Amino acid sequence: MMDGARLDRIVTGKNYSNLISNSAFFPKTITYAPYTIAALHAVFSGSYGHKTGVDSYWSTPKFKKEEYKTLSLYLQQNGYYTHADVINDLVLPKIGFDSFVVHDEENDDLTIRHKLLLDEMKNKSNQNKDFFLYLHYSNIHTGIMQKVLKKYDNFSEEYFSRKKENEKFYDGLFEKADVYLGEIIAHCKKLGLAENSLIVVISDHGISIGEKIGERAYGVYCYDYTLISTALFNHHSLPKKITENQIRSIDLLPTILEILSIPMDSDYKQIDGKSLMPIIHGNHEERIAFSQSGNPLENKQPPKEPNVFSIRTDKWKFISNIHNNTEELYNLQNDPTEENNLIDSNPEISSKLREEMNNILHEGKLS
Amino acid sequence: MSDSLKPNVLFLVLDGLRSDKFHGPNKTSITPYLDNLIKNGTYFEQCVSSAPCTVPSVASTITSLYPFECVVQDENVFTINQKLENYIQNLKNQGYTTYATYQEVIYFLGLDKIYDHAETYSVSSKLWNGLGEQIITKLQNNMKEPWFYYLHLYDLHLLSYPKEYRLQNGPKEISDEKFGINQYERVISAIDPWLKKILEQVDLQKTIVVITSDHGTEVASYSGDLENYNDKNIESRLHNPGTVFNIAQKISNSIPKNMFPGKKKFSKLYTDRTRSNLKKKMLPKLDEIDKNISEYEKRLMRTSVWGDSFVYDDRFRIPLLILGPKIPSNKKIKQQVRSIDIFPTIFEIAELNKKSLGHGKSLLPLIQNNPYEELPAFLEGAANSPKFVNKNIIGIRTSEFKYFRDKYDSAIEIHLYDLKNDPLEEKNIAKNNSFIVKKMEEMLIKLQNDHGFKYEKTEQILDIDEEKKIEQELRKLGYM
Repeated sequence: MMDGARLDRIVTGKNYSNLISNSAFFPKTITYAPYTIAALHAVFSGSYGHKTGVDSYWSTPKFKKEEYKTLSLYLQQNGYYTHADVINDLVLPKIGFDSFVVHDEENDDLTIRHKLLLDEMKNKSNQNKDFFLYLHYSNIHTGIMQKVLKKYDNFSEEYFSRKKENEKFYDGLFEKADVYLGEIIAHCKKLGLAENSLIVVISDHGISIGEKIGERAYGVYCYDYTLISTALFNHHSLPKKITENQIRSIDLLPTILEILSIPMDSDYKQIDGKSLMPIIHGNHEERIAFSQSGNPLENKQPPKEPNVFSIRTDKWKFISNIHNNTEELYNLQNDPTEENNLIDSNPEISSKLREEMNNILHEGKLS
Repeated sequence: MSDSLKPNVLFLVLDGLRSDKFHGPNKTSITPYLDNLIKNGTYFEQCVSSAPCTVPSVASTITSLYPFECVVQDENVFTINQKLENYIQNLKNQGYTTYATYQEVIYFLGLDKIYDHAETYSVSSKLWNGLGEQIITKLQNNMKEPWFYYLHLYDLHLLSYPKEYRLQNGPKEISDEKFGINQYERVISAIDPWLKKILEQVDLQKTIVVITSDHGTEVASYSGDLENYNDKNIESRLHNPGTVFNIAQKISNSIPKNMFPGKKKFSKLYTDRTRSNLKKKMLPKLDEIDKNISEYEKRLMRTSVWGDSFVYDDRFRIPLLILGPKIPSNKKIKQQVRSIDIFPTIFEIAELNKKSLGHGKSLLPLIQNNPYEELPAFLEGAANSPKFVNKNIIGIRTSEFKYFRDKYDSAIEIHLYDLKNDPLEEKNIAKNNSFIVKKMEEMLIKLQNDHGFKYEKTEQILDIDEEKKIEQELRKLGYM
């Protein structure tokens, strides 16, 4: 999991590009939340956070593990050894992991650390034990934390006036991430793991480089520079393909289960996500994505409830700012940087998307 | 007040003891010691519990909150919400050392986390077979003053065992009709001398003694044919799964969970089938009952078969006797009071500095003949465990009326009883008294919180420590 990797860099990264050309790649994977905690809980549960309980930075302990079966639990119950190496205690539901280890993002060499973990998994594999290894590459976050989050606030004029420097700084961080990815994939190949493993590479959210005042990094608004994450499936059974239509991060869990022939457990609640296998095999589908973020506004800490909601289609994005009761509508095809708010000029589209949002929210309340 | 001046408190809970079997014309047990204690203290004739069983009732009493507010579901059990302020903690804060003795069956209630010194005894331990002596020794071994001692006795639970077991393991009085009209009352007669021995260890000059119960029981009303009928049902309920099941269970337990994904479903299927078979086995007998028996007796029989958790007085009226310094002797109070009022009363009598928690209100003004407005009692057909049959009933009780209905739908199971003229709650008068129903529904609805009347699950409660931990982590990640 490449924490904070932006799509515009991913598609130009050397190692990323190599891997993309050999995989089924979804460059527009819309995250449920543009920050790691809620984003990954949605990935691991295949469901939106307003249903699973994790819809804010604060709500990890509220995850409804009895109602939503996580990817790790599915795999554990199907005989996989499950190990997570993560940035922090809060980012994932721990259920279903045989081993859950937090690394030191500022001092650990993640490349060495993760290669050693792959060696361990190779030993498991030699003993005919299937494994699920979750690796969290956190060093983009580390750099952003050190040089942006701890230095500027969401309204620092200095930060928003030096976009070029911000880009350069981010590029430096991304370059290291791309090298890490290359080394990890090469190590998988060296160990002979690549041929018979499903390798999934995802990002959880993008990161601002100063696009919109009020968001120095992520987890504030629902604009595309943070809302677009990516997903890549590398497995010998899958076609090599890039899907330009948007999908949702909640679709990853059912897809992985389908590739591994693991049925959904009907003892748990029905998930929101849908397998991507029909799309991988050529179906054209438009999937509507719902997202939630938490704008801290003038406060120094993230809010305990989400206060920015969005609905995204391939063409449109509707945003509802709960904190000040305003709405936004963007035509993403004509206006990819979301500059021209069309909320007043397109009442029909707005109304349709508003209704869609209400349906999704209402469904969560009923369940 | 210095610690040396603070009175000790003995809080004695006789599990399943119903108020009318503690004192009054319905009582047939022989209890000279208890009768004398009542003469030496203030007795509340109409004390109402918040729940019909132990877990929610105890949680409610020590927090002065209603079960849906103070009980949380932790996996498959209900437990006290440890995040809430409770009176035991407040006693500790006032310099008290707190002790508790209770049966191991309620370990999941979490009392061990609340009391300084909590000890449990086994299900088979009764006053007459060693437990009584154990308690006496404890009281003789210098508990640190001022102390609060919570003693929860399960002797009356003997009645839920088959007749043969009761006769073999019960006190000698259980077979002797002179000690009471039924076995329940005979066990009360057997408890009486043990209460004497226990209370003789306590200096009543400097101890507040509270004798009460957590809930009542229908069993107290079974006598003669009804007692035999109930015994047959206890026998029928005894579950003998058979050799095939035992072997299947052994195999199933030896298979790792991940190899047997449908285990939960199979287990549910098995339980449902067993329950359905049991229902078939027992219910037809109800049709054979003499049609001329009273509504009350019919209800007793239905409860004997299925144990539905309604909110009738049999389960909710509990005794409350308070003795000690400043407590008038031989005083009986008829007015309705609630189990959630007991701790505020203790605090006021002991002159401890703490305002009442939750909905509780001290009864001291009532004891001292000062004006005291009767407050309605909230009733919930709560269960001890999420696994148990629960009718999901909630209601409100005043001295005059009892109103109850379905917990989630105010239009289902609507009942209203005129308690003054119909104390056995035989005639549902809801249909012809819509005004009273409406008024009581308004009282009821006012009590719900953000979650309605639903129980929270432990993972939904974000406690302060947890929040601090998250804050620390978010800070580490640079988000604060």
